[in-house]
Amino acid sequence: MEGMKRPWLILLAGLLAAVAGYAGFYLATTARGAAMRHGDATGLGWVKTEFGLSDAEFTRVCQLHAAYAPQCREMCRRIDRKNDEIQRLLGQSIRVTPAIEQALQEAARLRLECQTMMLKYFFEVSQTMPPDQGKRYLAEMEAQTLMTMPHTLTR
Amino acid sequence: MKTPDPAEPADPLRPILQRWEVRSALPARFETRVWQRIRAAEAEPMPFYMALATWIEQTLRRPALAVAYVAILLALGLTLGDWQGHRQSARAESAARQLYVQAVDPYQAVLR
Repeated sequence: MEGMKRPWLILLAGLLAAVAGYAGFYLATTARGAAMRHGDATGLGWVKTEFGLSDAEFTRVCQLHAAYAPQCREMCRRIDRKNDEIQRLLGQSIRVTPAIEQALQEAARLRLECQTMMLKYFFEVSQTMPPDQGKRYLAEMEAQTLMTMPHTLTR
Repeated sequence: MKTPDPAEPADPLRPILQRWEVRSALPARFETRVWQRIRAAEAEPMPFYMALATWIEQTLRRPALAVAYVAILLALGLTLGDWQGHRQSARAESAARQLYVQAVDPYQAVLR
């Protein structure tokens, strides 16, 4: 009876080994991603993990982010209002009127102001990091924000 | 046939069974039909699950093959776990980066 059971036990052992191996490697490789998401709606966990920040550095980054967030929200509201105004003007006209031109100039000034504000924040954050990581952070943020072509009228 | 064990108590049925004779005649071609049925049963293909069970029992009885089987499954599990884990991790990293970018760039922010 024992001899008959053995092949089936080996079959089961193989399947268990496969499941255990899968679970072990899966959990080990996804641990970093889980740490990035850990209780975080602002993505700051990503900054900590990606740039290997110490707790002190991360606290400073969180403080900078907390100070920046209200300015960012206010900028969002101003952009929304300006976009609404441009949409309204475009809906009322079939040519570029002085009002449209002025609204576009204001939108461009707003973009300049927004980009300057973002850059100041990025520089401040980068300075809390070790120099190499700070450079990498700046390059990443510039690529993700200033170097993109945002769809300003679709917000 | 089992010889009677002198130590066993006498079974009253035994002498009766020894005297019993089958008097009814066998049906015609009885023996031929029995052999035909045996040949038909032998010729019938074994169901897949039984063939598989037999093959597994015979194969995994050999230590070298059993070790190889467990090792291959373990390696497959590790490889698949690593591959899927990296894919999942890359997705999570991308989502977390996007979340941060949306939190700092008013032009990419989702409506709050």
